[in-house]
Amino acid sequence: MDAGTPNRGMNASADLVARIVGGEQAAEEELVLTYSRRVYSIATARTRDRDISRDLTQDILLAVIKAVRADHIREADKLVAFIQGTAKNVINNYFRTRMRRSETSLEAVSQHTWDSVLESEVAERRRLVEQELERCSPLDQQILLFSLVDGHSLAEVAKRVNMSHDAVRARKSRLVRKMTEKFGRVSQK
Amino acid sequence: MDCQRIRRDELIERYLSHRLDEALSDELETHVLGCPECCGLLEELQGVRDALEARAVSIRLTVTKPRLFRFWWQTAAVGFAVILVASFGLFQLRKAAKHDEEPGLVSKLPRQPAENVAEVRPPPKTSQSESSQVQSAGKSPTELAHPHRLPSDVSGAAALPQSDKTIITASSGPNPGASRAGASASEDTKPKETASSSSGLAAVGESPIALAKSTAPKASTDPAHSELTSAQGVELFQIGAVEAAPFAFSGFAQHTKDPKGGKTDSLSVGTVTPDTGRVLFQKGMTAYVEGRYDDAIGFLQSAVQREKKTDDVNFYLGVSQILAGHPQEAPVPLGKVIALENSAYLQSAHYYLGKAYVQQMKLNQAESEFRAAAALPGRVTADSKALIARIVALRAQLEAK
Repeated sequence: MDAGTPNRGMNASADLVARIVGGEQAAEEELVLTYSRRVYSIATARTRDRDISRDLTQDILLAVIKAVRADHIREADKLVAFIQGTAKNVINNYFRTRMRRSETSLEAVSQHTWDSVLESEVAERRRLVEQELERCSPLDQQILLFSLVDGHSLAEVAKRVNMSHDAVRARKSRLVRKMTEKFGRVSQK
Repeated sequence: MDCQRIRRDELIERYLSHRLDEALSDELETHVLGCPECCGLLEELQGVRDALEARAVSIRLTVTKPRLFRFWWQTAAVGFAVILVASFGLFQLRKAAKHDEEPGLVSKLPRQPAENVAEVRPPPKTSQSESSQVQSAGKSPTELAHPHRLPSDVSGAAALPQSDKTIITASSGPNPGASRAGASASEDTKPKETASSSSGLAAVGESPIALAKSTAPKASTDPAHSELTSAQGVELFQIGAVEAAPFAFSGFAQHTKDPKGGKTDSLSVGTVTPDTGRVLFQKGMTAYVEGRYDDAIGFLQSAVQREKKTDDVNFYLGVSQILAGHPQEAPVPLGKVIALENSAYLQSAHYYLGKAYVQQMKLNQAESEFRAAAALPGRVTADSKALIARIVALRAQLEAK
């Protein structure tokens, strides 16, 4: 996806960076709105703790805005890579210290880092996922559990549920696709 | 990295379960930060993962049924195969039943020389009180005739063609002649079929009950044994039923030397000097394996004269004699095997000697042989123990009369 529109994405990032460097408040809000959810997803994937991820997301975005404001980004068109690097550092730092530190307080940023709409959307998704899982057969649930929670490869899952690798792959793909389509429709509402 | 590769290689799943290396993780995260679709997929899979984690215990405890029949056509194929096999089995059963009922076959069966003749007659229509009669006691004729569905190499089952129609007259005195006399007195007009037997249950052409009854007076040490109910007769027959002892031709390897200095024996007859003990044994065992027990006896008796200390010859000679319907001759060769004490055939010899005694209605001696067999390790230990219990129970029934 990124590969499909690289130039447009790069230009947009460079433009956003330029606007933040120029002191535009709306640009900072735009950056937060664009990336807060994605950063949160990454933080959750790494920490597996939603509450901590929420705080870490704020820390990451604050660090990014601070760096952009100070014009520390050498390649403005690689803002995404900069955010990823910052996120990785902050999260690793969290793991090292197991402490959360707020480096600065930017009121304008904190207003948008985490809103109630996003919170309710996440809760709604979770509820729907649970409903959808209820409908799955025990075998499908096991396949997903072994794959997503236990971290087994498809070959290992196939061995555990006594099925062929292709059958497990097909089942898992079908389940993921079904859920993706369903939640896609929910998100579009 | 692109969306297609992420989905194809399931990179997000691997990322979520921390199975992605650091470089790929960085690359994926960078892509996710710039791609709303992949970010959506990541969120959804995270949601699924959290929900699964919450109910992981119950999912793990759920026992998924084994998927024996994945596709309808597999089920159909199995069903069709079952029907086919069942049909074939029924056809064979009917064919076998017809074969048993065919009267012409009886006369074609081999007969032993007439000694100790026991008479097998159709049921008398008038009086049944003159002689003790054995009824089927609710069992099918085939069950009575073939309690174990014994193959042709099993003693007592070689030919029992008309057993389902016969009621057997058992002798009441120690003299077999009395039996014959009593039997013939009851009905002179009925056609008689005379089945000959040297002794024992293994005679050709007689039902087990008939044999048990006809042999009881002359062989039994217990007078109570002369009167058997049908159930006891069947039980006696089942205890005395003998399956051919297994024989593997590899056994020749241990006798590669001709005891009389002849050429080396081997499985190839062409390289063996004729008339050595081993060659005779080989011929005897070929007959034994083919179920020609009388021929086997002849060869083995010749072989035993040349190799008198060979336990395998004596053992298979004894077994062949039982299978050929001469259980009274089995104790001699089997006793020679037992006398060796360290023979590999020791347990089997005790076991088959016990069978021979059962067929002669010598239950005490049979029990002692089975006890000896049960005390030894081997393939018939469990069977011997079971037979002991059955003999004890049978004897208790007979003594209670």
